[in-house]
Amino acid sequence: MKKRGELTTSQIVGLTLTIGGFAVVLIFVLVYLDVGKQVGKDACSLSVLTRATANTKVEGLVPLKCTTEKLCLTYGKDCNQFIGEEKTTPIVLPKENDKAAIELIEAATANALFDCWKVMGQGKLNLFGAGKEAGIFAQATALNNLFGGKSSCTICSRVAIQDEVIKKIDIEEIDINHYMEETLVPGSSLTYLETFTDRQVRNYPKTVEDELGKSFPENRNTNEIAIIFMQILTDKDSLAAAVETGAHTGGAFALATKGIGGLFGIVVSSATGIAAGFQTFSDRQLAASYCAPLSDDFGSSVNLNGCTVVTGMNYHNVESINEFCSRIEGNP
Amino acid sequence: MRKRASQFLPENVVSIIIGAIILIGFGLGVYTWYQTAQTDTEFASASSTIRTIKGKIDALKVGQENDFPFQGFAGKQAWYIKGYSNTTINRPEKCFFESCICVSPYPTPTSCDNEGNHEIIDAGEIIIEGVFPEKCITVKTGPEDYDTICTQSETPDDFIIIPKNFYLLHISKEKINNEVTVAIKFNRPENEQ
Repeated sequence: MKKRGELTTSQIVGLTLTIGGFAVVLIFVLVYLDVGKQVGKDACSLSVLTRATANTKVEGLVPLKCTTEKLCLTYGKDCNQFIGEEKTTPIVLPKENDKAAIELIEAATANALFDCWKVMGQGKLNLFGAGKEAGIFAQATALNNLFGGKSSCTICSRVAIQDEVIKKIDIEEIDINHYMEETLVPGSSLTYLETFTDRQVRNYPKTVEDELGKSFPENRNTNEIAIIFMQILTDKDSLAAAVETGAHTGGAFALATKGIGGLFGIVVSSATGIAAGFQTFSDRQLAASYCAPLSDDFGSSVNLNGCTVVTGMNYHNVESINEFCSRIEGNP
Repeated sequence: MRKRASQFLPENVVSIIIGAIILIGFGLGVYTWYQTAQTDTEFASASSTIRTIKGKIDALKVGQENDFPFQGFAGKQAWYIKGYSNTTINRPEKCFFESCICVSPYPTPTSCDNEGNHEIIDAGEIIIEGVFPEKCITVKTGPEDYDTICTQSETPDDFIIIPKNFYLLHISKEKINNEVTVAIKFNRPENEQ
């Protein structure tokens, strides 16, 4: 005879299956998806996706497992810039062929930019807390910088040129902007420029070429750049945000305009105050940027626009980087 | 009334209780996992920083000095860099009798031992200079009026708080009284302190 409150067989089976299911999911998450044990871009990519798809209330608790990659462009010797540092990746340049060496430098830098752009979600993912200024990110005692807001950055990689290389090749000949305009992304039918602008731009317009061609000798004094992914939230409309962000990225940058509907895809700012870009290799460098309403964890847009920029900056210019980045996430 | 109370107890009340316990347990598990993951990430960043500092110190020859840019990191807690000379009495046990630098959530030997990471430095003395802290006092200027007066300390902190973005460390290595002295000074641009 069945007593009141007694568990039926089906309830016991259901309960057991539920507990078992939870256990399997938990083990899968903890063991197989243990991002702590994964390395490099895979771990970073997975943590970016995890954060972007997490509920906005716990987004800040999901750490970005992105470690700064250290690329040393060299004939064989170690880069002094990375002295005493771990896990550097040498890219050996041909000593007898300067033209090939320059092309390798351009390729390595363009790829570092592209990898950063791709791994971090191409500016379409909200990674640093859209609309949560009063939430978990308000705890960050970071300085306000761009349009009085807090920007968050990840340093995807550092690209250094070994001293011997700088002495031998003509740095002036390195033209990453041109390389990105002409060269296809590996495994793609689009050039770097087309990819960064969501297929909207094939060639630089004259105004941008002029801007990129300006000379800023003060920006050349470095042998190392940081490839920086930056995201900032603003209540300004996408274009205004883009122009202002442009001022901080050296004045000229490619802009994917999906979010602002039909506007031409390259913004040129006349501001020259804070110069960024690959200063060593070229005075003015195109920065990939995407300004649009950001998506939340379920794909619906939030009220704020986000501007995302991937650019290269002089690693040794601490002041300039800090004006660009209020806070940095990721493993140095 | 008694009959109604008994009717209020559903026959699967045990299942509901077990279900609730499982849900709470699962939630706690996920929260703990997130917390651990977050702390692990910060610990890894802090450890990487201190290893890099040691690497730079080792690369310097006696008599050399340089400014090195370092990449800070944002986290849920602050991380402190503190140095201990081999003669310091109150020191982390993990440094034994050697000079060392330590990164930990608090600038104390206990925090270094329990939650931090350290690197042994081949030097007799370690000098760490952080920022010059501001000390503020509130002064009563009227019946209901108060003023806060802040003055900058003349001596720097003997620890460095790792900032959330970039910073410069001035590292020098010199021989004083036949003993190698390593000094690490926080060197952030004026307008950002």
